[in-house]
Amino acid sequence: MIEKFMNAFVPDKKKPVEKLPERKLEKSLDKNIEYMKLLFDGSADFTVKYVNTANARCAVLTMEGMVNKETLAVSVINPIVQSVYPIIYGSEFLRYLEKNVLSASEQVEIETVDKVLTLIMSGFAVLLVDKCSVGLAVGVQGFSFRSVSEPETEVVQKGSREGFVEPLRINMSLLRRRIKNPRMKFETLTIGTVSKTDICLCYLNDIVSQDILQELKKRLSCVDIDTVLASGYLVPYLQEENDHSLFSTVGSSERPDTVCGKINEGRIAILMDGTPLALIVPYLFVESFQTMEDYSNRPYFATFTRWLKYLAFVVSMLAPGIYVAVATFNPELFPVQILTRVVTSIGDTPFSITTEVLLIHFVYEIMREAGLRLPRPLGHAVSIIGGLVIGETAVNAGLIGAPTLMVVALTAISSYVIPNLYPPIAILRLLFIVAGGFFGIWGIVLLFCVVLVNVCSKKSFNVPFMSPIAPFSMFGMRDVLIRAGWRTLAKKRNLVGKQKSD
Amino acid sequence: MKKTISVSVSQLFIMLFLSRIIAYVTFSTYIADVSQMWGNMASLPLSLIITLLMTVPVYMLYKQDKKRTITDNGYEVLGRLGFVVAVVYGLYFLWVLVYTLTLFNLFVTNLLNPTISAFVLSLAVVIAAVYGAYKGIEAISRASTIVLVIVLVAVIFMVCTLLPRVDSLNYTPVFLRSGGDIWQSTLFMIGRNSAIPAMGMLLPFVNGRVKKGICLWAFFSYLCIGLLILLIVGVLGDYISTQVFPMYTVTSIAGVGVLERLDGVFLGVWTAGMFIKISLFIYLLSMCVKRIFGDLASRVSILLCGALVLGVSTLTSVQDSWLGILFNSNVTVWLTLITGVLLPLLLLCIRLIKKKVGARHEKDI
Repeated sequence: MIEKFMNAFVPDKKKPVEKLPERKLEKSLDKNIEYMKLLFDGSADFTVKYVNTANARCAVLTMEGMVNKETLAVSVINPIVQSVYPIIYGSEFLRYLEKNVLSASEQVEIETVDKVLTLIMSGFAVLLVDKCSVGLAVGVQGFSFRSVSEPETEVVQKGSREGFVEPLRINMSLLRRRIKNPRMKFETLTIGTVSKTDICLCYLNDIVSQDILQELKKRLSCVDIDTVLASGYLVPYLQEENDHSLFSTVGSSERPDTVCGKINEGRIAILMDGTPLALIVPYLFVESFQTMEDYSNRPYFATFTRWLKYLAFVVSMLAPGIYVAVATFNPELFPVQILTRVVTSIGDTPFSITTEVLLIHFVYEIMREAGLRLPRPLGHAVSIIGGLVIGETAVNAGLIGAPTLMVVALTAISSYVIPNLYPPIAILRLLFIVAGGFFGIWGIVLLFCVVLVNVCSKKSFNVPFMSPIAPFSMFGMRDVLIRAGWRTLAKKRNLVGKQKSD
Repeated sequence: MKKTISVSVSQLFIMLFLSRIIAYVTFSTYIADVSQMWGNMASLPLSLIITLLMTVPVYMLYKQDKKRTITDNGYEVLGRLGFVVAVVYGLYFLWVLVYTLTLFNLFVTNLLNPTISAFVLSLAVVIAAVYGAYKGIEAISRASTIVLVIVLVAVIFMVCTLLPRVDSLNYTPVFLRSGGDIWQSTLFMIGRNSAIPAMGMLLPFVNGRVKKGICLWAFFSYLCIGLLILLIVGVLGDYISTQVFPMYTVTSIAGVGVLERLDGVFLGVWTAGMFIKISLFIYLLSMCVKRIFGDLASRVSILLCGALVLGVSTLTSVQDSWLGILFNSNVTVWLTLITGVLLPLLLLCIRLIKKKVGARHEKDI
C-alpha cells in the first residue's frame, strides 16, 4: 500500500506512448481546407489565404501572430502571384514552386494532416495546391519573444551575460555559437499529445555514452502527458524508476556556457520550446556545488568558495536540528557562556525549543514564498517587514528567543549559497528539527545516515549519483575536493558514463 | 541498462572495519570486565594472527566458487539439508543484531536519556536500518565510505584533544599478566569477529583483490583497537574500573576551546557506525531468509527481518537472564567460531571430497 502511495508521485515509464494513425492529405484542396477548418472549429487565429494562379488554385495556411507577414508576402505570396508558369499541374507544379518560385530558405514537403497542423502552429506557412496530395511548409516564423538577457537565477561576475530564452531555435544557436564543431549534434523530438512541444537533445556525438543516449530516448518516448508547458514536466520521466528521493537526478541551467561545459563532459542537454532552461543528464550530487564562476576564478579562491558551499550545505541542513537536540537533551554540550544565554532565552519564551524553531521556520518559509511571488519592490518590502520588524518585535515581546532567531537566520542565509539544493534542504531541515527534538543527537545522526544511504543508492542514468565521492574516484576529486587549475583539468576531461571506446 | 550488484573490495572492508571498530567502542561492563581493558593490549598480536587464520576457511571456500555465498554453498554441498546452514547463519546474524541494538539501548537509556522508552529507541533504529538494508548492499557500502571519513575525522579530533590528558603512569607493564588472562582476552577479541561470517555471504559480490583486503582489514582493525585502548587507559587509568562505558567517559572529559566536552561526537560516531552495522546485518539476515523461503519471501524479507530484530531485542532488554546469555563471552566465541570457521571448513571439506570423488569417478568411466 505504501509503495502504491509512493508510486503515485512517480510516472509509469514502462509503456511507450502509442501514436494514432496519421491522416494523409487529400488531392482536393477544398476537402483539405474543409477538414482543417473543422479541426480548428472556427478558431480566430487560423487563417487561409487563397492564391489563384493559371495552373492551379493554391491556399496558404497560417496562424495569426505566429508568422512575419512581411516575410510571408515577400517570399511566398508575391512570388506565387507574379510568376509565369509552364503548363504543369498537381505535385509537379508544387515542386516547381519549391525550386523556382519561393525564396524562403526553409521549405519542407509534408504529406500528413498532423504534420501540417504541427508546422503551422510552429509558425510555418503551409502551401496547399489543388490536385496535389503533398503540401509545402515554408519557414516564415515571426512571433514576438523576449530578447536574450542575463539569467536572474545564475548571475556571475566574470562570464557571459547571455541566458536562454523561450524559443528553441534561439537557444540552439546560443549553444552552437559556443561549440563550433560538427560533432555537436542537435536531435529534435515532439512531446505532448496535445501541446506537441518541440524538444531538442544536444550532445557531442563522439564522447556521449550511447547507453545513456538510448536510455534517454527510451524514457522520453514514455512521456504520456497531454500538455508539456515547462521542462519540469519531463523531470519525473527522466529520473530512475521508483525514485522517491528529495534530491533530483536531473540538472538544469539557464546559462548556455554552463550547458556547453556539461555537454563537453559527455552529458546530454535537453532544450524545450517555451522554456528558458536546459535540463542536463546525467546529473551528480557534486554538481550542485559547482558554478560557472568557479572556472573563471583562480583555483585557490574557487576551492575556498567550494568548501564554503559544503559548509553552508551542512549548516543549512543540520544547524537548527543540532541546536534543538543539544538544547533539549544535552545542554551540557554548550560552552558555559552560550549555555547561560540559551537557558535564559528558553526560560523567557512560552514555547518549547522545538516548537519555537519550527514556528520561526514556517514564518520564514511563508515570507520567502511571499517575497518570491510578489513584484520586486514589494518583495523587498516583505523581506524588510518580515526580517527586521517581525523578528525584532517577536524577540522583544518574549515570543521567541534571540539565539533561536539567530540560528534560523544563519540557516536561511546558508541555504541560499547552494540554490540548486534549496528544495531538499528545506524539507530535510524540518525533518532534522523534528528528529533532534524527539530523539536528540543520535536521532539526527540516524536520520543523516538514512539520507546518506538514500543519496548513495541513487543513480542518474546508471551513473552513481554520489560519484566521485562514493564510489570514490581520486581523479574526480580534482574538481570536488579542490578546483584544480585549467592546465590540470585540460589534460584529461572528466567524462561521465561509459564511452564508445570503453 | 542492466543492473548488477557490485561492491569494491575497499567498500566491503570499510563496512566490516566500521562494524569491528563499533564493536570495540561499545566496550562496557555489560559485556566484559572493563578493568581488564589494558590486558586486551597484550592479546592484540595474538588476536590478529588468529583472526587472519579464522578467515582462511571462508576465503578458501570463496576461491572454490567465486559466485556462491556460504548459504549457496550449503545447498550445493548438502542438497536439501543446506537449509540448516542458512538457518544457522540467519540465527547468528539475528544474534549479532540483537547484541548491537541492545547494547545501544542500554547506553542511551542508562546514560544519555533515561526517560526514553527502549522500544521507541529500538523502533527508530530498526526503521532506519531496514531502510538502509532495503536500499541494498551497494548503497550501504557507498554510505559506509562517507561514514568512515566522518568517523576518522571525529576520532582524529578526539585523539588530538585527549593526547594532552594522557598520563604515562597509567600504563603498567602489559606482559606481566598471566598466560590465562591473555588467552581470555584473546578469546574475547576473536569472539567479536562477526565480520568473518559476513564475509562468507558478501565476498561473491566483491570486485578486487580480496586477500589483500582481508589482511589490511584485520591489521587496521586491531591497530585502531590498540590505539583506542592506549588512549582510554592513558586518560582514565584505574578510574576505568568504575565506568560503565569507558569510551564515553573519555570523550565526556575531553574538551577543546569553548567545547568543554566531546561526548556528542562519540555518540555521533557510535550511532553512524551502528547504523551501518545493523543495516548490513539485516541485509545479510534477509539473504538467509530469501535462501530458505525462496522468491516468496524476497519482497518482504527485509521488513520481516526488521520486525524480528525489533521483537527479539525488545524481549531481551526486559529479561535479565536473556541479557546474561546475550552478553556471555563464551557464547559469543562459540557462535563466531561455528559460523566463521567450523561450518565453512566443513563445507569446504565436503566440497573437496565430492570433487575428488567426482574426478575419480570420471576417470574410471
